[in-house]
Amino acid sequence: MIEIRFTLNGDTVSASVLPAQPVTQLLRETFGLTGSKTGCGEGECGACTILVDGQAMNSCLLPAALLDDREVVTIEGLDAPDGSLHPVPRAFVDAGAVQCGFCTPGMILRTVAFLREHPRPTDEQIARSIEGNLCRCTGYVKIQDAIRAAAATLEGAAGAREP
Amino acid sequence: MSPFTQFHAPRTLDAALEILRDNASACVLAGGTDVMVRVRRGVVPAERTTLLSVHRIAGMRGCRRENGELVVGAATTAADLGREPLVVECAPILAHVADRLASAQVRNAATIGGNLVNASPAGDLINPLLLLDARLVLASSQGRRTVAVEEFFTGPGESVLRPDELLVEVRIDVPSPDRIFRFQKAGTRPAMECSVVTLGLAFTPTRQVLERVRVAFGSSAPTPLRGRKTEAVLEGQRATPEVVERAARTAAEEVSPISDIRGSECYRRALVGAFVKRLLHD
Amino acid sequence: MRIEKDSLIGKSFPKIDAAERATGRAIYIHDLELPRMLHAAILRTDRVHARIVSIDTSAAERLPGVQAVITAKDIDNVPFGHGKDNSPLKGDKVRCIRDEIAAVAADTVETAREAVALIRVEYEDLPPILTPEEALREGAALIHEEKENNVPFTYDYSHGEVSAGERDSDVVIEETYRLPYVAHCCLGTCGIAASFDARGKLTLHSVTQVPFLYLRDMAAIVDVPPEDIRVIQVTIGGGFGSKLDIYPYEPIAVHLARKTRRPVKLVFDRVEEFVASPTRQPTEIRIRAGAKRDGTFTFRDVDFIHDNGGYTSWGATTPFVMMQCFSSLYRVPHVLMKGRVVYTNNPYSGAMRGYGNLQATFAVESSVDLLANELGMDPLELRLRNAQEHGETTGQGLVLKTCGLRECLTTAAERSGWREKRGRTETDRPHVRRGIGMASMIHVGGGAKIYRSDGCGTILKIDDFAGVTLITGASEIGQGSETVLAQIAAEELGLQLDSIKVLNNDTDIRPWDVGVHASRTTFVGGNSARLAARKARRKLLAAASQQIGIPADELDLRRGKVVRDSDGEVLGDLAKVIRALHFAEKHEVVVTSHYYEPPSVMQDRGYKGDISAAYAFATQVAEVEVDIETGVVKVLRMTAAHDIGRVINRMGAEGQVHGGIVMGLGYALSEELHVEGGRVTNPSFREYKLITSPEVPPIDLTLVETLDPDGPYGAKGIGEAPAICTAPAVANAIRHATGGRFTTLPLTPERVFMVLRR
Repeated sequence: MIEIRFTLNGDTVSASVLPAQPVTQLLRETFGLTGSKTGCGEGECGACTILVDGQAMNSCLLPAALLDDREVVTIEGLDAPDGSLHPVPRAFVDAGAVQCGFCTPGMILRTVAFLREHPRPTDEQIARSIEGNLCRCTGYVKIQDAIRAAAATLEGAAGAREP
Repeated sequence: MSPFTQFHAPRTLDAALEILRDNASACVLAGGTDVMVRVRRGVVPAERTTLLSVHRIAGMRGCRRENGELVVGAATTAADLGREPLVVECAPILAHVADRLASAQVRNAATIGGNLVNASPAGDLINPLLLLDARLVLASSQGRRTVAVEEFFTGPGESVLRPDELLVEVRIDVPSPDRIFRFQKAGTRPAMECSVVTLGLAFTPTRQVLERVRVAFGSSAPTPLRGRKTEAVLEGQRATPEVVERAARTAAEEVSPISDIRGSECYRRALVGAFVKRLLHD
Repeated sequence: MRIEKDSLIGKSFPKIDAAERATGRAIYIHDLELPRMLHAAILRTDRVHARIVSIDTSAAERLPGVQAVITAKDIDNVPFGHGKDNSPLKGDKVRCIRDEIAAVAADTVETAREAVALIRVEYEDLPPILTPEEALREGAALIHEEKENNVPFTYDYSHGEVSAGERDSDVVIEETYRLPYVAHCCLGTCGIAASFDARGKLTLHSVTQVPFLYLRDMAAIVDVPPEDIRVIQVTIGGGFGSKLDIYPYEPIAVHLARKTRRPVKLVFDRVEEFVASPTRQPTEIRIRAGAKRDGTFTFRDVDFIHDNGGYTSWGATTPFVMMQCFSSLYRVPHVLMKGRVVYTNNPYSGAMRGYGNLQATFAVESSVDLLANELGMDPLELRLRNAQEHGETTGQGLVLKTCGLRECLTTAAERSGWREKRGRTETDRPHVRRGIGMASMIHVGGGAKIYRSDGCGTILKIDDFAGVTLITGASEIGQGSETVLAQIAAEELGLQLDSIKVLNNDTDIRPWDVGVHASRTTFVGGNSARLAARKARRKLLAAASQQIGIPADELDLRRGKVVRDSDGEVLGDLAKVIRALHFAEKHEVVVTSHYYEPPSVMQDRGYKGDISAAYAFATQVAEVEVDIETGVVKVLRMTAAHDIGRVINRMGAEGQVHGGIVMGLGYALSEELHVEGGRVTNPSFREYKLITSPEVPPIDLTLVETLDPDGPYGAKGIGEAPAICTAPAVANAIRHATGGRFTTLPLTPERVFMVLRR
């Protein structure tokens, strides 16, 4: 067992972990954050996607030992302090992009990272952005719509912040 | 079930090499995208109880230009390669292929070193390195050695890397701006494809003749393969229909693909031939 | 103040549970924690056909953290399933790679799996029977030795007389089609949590799609009286039919819970999901069909063999649905269908979205294009010539009260640019061809009377603040049915959608519903909700009328107010009316209920009868580009026209169509569960290719409204339809583009390439 310390949704936390314990398991079982899902455990479906230092990563492929000193955001960390929905999950809800919802947290976190890097994405970039996130319910169409809408909202908000 | 009882994350290369020297069966961890799959499948050999992570070693990640060489640290991720200005400028084929590896999530973790050491004939990043005549620097507590990427692989999943060695960097002579690189991969997806067949082509067009031709095959042989016979057909030639046809046929014969769940041998040979023609289409 | 009349029907509303799911708050079976809960794992065999000689669990039992180990001899191993041929554990014989030999309950999942690995089994191998042909051979071993032969089910259907049809034909074609194993690939894998309370009552936290049938069947399997079983549906990560049957892991969890006297949870990982979860029914269909010179269809003569695998699940009953396609997709006067379901040592199949209709429609719609070729006729014209009209009754006795088939055909054709694109297959690149193809489908849209009741019950309660609780038997499996039902209640009561709470996951509370299958929930659950809400509305208007002094038929409910219907003038507040009813003289609360049974009939012994209260239709047109050097097919566009009767939640209906089409594209082009030697050789997403986001083509969708007289506001079901005709549309487009003969799915690049090089 080794000790790790990292930032989890804004809080500094520590844990005793087996070095190659998958981070999905650490989040779900040690921290009770069940929003990150194990869909395959092999980095193929993206349901376990979290943000590590702002980058989207498959938590199932991330050994807990590598979390030390890093900043982690899970779906539970996206809610605004007043409890309102972050613009990305808001866009997913409003666009009808949520059916069974199992893939949704992973899709959302991937989108948060994607839109930070590409605030004005083309349709092709949007389609490719979630190539590592599988969905069996929606056929991706409304998810792509949600990403487009979220980009516009975030751009609008960014514009509004400028003096 | 995690088999590792010992974990090290040294901050210097020397410290890492000492650990490797003393633990011949240590498992090296870079991004985790290969190691964690093995852990999950329970196929990590029982004697590998030590996990050695490279993520803290100074200088292992990142790119720099040293005179005419592009030097890429082995812990540089595929995502880094896709956006690093130096790579995009000096070796755009590497950036292009890196950006089509698996998914964004995997690209943020997978490293060029990991891709090389995993030594899969399907390793996407390896193909452009063959085209770039890359050299791999292997370090151990006894010193360093440089191996041409073409000579690194000995079989599926096997390389000349010794148990006490660490792959530390990849060195590429920056190609001249007029050198042409092309890459083709099979399948219906831009990325997320465990390759059926990939083909890379590089050449310098000199007065309409192809010079310094490099052909690299992926998923077409037990190792990533440089197609020297195909290169010989093209070297110094103009890409006329007859030459292209001959190159395609030679390539289809030069590879030795297996039949597996992703594709049959026959189909893979046909794809190789088709891709050669496609990449030569000026 | 005045309030205009407004309607929620046909508008788009996000699902009422979307935010819970999107923010990671929803509890799926994987997330469920119960006090003192144990984790279970199953030892599955590594043989395909063998006698079990001995099972040694001693090492497993000794492992610290293990609380119980069971094998067949430790439980009452009750046979179950449609063929009564499956059992929770296997003690004497192994018949397929899934077979459950033992199960462990332990403190952690890791310990349970470690214990499973310590169990030693001795087998006496038997020769595996890997194809129906082998199973049918003279002298073939019996896979179920208590049965007479390896053919547990046969289906014989006919209407008319095919020999007459042959005589009437000017052209006849014949072809054989092969449809593969595909997997549901729900993102959320299967799982269950079973627990007994202090009085021996059993609670099942289940992913079932059919809670009441499940309850009834589980009672018999685990020997607990049905009135002592409570089924709580957790949020499920996808259904698509995979949860329509009971599978051995479920009673196994119950037995472990009984033995340990603690809650036991069992969840599949992805490999186990691919190996042990039922597949879509693979099959080989031979079809012979004829037409007159003018294109009128004369007959269809079909026979098929289903590989039933080692045990019977719903795959064996897909012929009931296939019949509807063979007999009633387009007008055909003479139809003969013979089907055999044959045991093998392969994995067995269950129900999957479309339930046999994908397979049958692939054969029929491919054969229609073959006929069009023979006749030199445009495939659209040929289909229009034989498309039914509103009010027709088909040869099987299906009464098409509303039939939007013609409109779907013409709409999809027009919007896709059919005529013009049909004329060219060349492109500016020599190795690329273009093609356009179409296919239609018919499917039940008003339930399916396969049990003695196809009904759904609703209880509706309105509180003192005009907050509504809709307690429905209908289940939510992610498709948005709760939202549709809430919309219907809100519509009837003049309330906003967020005034409605839906309670529907506990069999102790909710009334009976047969379950989520056959695309029935909007129709049957919707009518049930509408009628319960109407009863409440009448009661409320009567109370309001008495309180305000205006006749009830001159009043309306809008936006939580009581208004004059003619001009919308606000006369009262609904919540106040309710409180007055409750607290003043009458002391009544508003609770109503309704059990809705659709006006359909069970089929007779000849499989004839109007089995559904409505039928849905659709046409899809696929436009493709084929690279003839690599076999890669790119779908450029899908144009879909779906007869949905009436749109209730527009974005919900669209979402179903998109998801169904993409599932259909996977069936057409990339998905196949490889079963070799009885083993699943690609149990991972790396090797089982789902369609991913960049591969999805633009989808042009028209929802055609034919206003079914029996559907709620005219609505018919749409859950399965969009997946049903996609593959033949794509295959027909590839055939148009290349002239190739494609008879086997999926049309992977390699398969297309191999066909074209011949």
